[in-house]
Amino acid sequence: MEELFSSDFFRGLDRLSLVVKRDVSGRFRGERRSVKHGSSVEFADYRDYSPGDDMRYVDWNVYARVDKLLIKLFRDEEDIEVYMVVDNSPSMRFGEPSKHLFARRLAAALSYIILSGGDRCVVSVFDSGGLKRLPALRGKRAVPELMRFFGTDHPSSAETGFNAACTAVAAESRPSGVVVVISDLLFAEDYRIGLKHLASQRHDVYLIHCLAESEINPDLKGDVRVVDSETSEIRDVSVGPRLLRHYQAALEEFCGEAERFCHAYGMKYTRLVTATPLKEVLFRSLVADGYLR
Amino acid sequence: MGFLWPLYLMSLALIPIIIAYHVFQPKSTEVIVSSVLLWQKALTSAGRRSVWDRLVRNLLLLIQILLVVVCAFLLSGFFINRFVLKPERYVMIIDTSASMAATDVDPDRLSVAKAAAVSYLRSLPANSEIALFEFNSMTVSRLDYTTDRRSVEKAISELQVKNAASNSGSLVSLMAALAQDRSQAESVALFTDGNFSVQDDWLGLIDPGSLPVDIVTVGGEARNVAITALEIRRPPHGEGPSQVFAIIDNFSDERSVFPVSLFYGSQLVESRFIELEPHERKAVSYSLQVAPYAPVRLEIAPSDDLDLDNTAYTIAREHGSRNVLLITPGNINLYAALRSIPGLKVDARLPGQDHSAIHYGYDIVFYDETPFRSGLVTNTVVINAPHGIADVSVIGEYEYAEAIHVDKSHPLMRYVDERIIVAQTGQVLDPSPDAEVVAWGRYGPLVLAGTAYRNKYVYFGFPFTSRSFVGSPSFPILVYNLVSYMLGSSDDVRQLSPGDPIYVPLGSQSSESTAVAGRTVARITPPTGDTREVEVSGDFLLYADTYETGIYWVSVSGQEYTYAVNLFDSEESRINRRDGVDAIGSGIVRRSSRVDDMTASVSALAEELLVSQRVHFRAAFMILALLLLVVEWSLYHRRWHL
Repeated sequence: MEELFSSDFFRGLDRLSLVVKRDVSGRFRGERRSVKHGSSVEFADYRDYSPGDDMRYVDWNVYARVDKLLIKLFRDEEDIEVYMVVDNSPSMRFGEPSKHLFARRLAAALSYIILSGGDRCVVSVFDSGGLKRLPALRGKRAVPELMRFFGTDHPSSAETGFNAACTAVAAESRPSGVVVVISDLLFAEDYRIGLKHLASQRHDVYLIHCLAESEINPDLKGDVRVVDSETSEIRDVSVGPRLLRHYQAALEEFCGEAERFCHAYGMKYTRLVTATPLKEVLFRSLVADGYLR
Repeated sequence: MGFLWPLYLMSLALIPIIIAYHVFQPKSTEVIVSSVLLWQKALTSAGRRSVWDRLVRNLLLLIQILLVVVCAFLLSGFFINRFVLKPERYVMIIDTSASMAATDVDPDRLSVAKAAAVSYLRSLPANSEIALFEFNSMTVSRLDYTTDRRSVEKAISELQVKNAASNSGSLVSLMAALAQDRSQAESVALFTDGNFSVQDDWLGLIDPGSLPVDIVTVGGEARNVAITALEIRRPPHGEGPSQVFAIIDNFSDERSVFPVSLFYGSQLVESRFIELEPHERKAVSYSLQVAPYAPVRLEIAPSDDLDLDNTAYTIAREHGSRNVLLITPGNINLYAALRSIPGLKVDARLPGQDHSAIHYGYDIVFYDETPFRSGLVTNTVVINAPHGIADVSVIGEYEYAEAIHVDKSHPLMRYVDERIIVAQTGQVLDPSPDAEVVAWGRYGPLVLAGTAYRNKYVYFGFPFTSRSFVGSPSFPILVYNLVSYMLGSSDDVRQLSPGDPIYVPLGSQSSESTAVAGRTVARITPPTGDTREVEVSGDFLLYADTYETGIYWVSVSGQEYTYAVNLFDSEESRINRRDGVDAIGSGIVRRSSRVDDMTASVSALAEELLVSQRVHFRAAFMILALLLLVVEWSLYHRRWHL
């Protein structure tokens, strides 16, 4: 198990909270505004009194003016379920620091923020072997378990099962939750299928696209045989300035396509480079992108 | 193109191996990347490269292939056959005679000829060897065979006009020598104004067709009026005024009126206008009181294209008294000509008497149409003797004798217009081998000179009766030359042609002077005024740089001498287009008058003379291979790729 964060770092995270765009429908009372009327202090509406209603919610001021018993309705506050889905495929093993480590630390930090906010968090890592996940965690009591999960380097299988993992999360999750996907999106399959499944469950999907510096600016020259870490596919390339220009154009196109797709389906997209310090990611990039506040 | 050892070309078989290695070699670097997805997209975007494209773009492979090719060519002894002109020799002759100073072309004929010569030079094949000759009164080598074009151009640019007449004999002699030994010259290029005549007999010296001669002529129809003779004759007994005779020729096709001025020293004595019709000749004379050996100058100022012959100089000579016997049936002209010569006592007798007894009292005896019976007991001039003399047999007669060619270098013909040698009859002469031929006629010699029994003789094979002969201004000059030649007056020659040497015998006095001083120095002041000191060795002074016309002052051994140098050459002064070039052109091989034609002829000649030459590239290949090796090594280690 790796030491992911220091205690000082945790204290800083306490000031952050996850931004949820719409009202949620949770299972337990929480701190998120629910779509249901409940017992919070936030007034929502009036309705006619019915026998059996709690007399404490009768608005006596209104009765005094209009001689009619009306019951005050208040917006209910519930927690939300946040599904943290972390790519554990072999392609995530690259970079300095590796994308995998970066993703685990980022997921751990976000999960901590979620737990601190009183929400429930379902953390999982996936590869071609399927999902490895913990049962839903709630409250800071679960932090040690969370840290153990992300502190453990789960061995990767040969291929990524991104779409399968997304489908599984979509199927097993309750609707209208939040799904945070941390991945490099470097899959042989079309990752959009999995994301669509998540979106179809009315989840807020937050896609964090992490790339290593070596993927943005490959340090390759000359005739090189590049081998895919997942599929073992081989490509013989003669790397020169011209091919590098084409590579970077392909990368921009790839990222742009993902961003456009996310915007089209109401998902949030952000691109992070693993070399960026996590503190800067959390306190600046994700805040600026509206993930955290 | 070829190879000395073609088997080594088999090493080229390495090329496919190298290509195969580059195509199929496992990449030297295998890198596991997160995904090949982006690389695949990049490759698709860049366009899939063909095998050939990959090869072309792989500089390392190209260099290795090139290295193999270069090494294979180096080992197999690659060469190419280059067809080049074998090194050939060309002779360039440039006329620098006096007529080349004519300004009928801009700026003058010599400058134009030099420009044409440079143009011709540049048209010659690169490896040609070129020799340069200068042609005037002599034909002199200015530059031996060289391939250095710059030195030839420099030598050409340094050529100057010499105030000397053209001596076509020396030109033809050179060409004859070149024709005999063709290794000396592939062709001759002559740059001239053609202002000379060539004797047919001389052309016979050259095997026709054996020597290509390219001739560039400069100049054309030009105007010239010239002083062709100037003589001063002291009074017979040293008293009274001297007589100055001059001959002025108009060689132009236009009438000319101009002033004639006579100077005694620097003092103008007389100036008058004379008028000459086209091609007219006029004699002018003056009476002038002059001191012995004083210089006299005559100037004319016509509007013409040649200045050199517009000024003439002469020296008043002192003569001692000499006795001459003239035996003639009544040739008054000859008698008068002899009488006019200063210091000459002339006795005249009729033929038919026995004159042998009195021969001994005379320095010269003239036999004019008188049978010559006695031996040569004194200097003798025989004119048209019925039976000839001992050394000259008469074997026949013919009508209308005229001089076809005259040896103008002979003292007898100095300043004489050879065209005057015309007579109604002529003798067919059979001279002894020792006799000098001074003038030729249709059937052999017309004028002969020689020596027998220590006495000189001159034989004329025609009578002195033709009016055009005896009435010509050249006739008294001829008679004067005759007397001078007979009396051996060459020691006292004060009239020179440009290039003639000044000869001063020093005798015993100078020998003493030499013994005392250790050396004798002569001071010579040419017309340019810059006095030169010449060390004299031996008992005579010989100074040959007399190409400037004018008065030469010589001071040696305490004595003063003056010499007059004049062009006095009607051939040279006649600067209109002449037939000299035509004679050479028709007599030898060809003639071309424009530089363009000459260039073309040289090119045509070049085609016949192409020789195959192997050019090897060993050094170049070795350097290239080394260079490629260095680049390949550097590329391999630095991984330079396109």
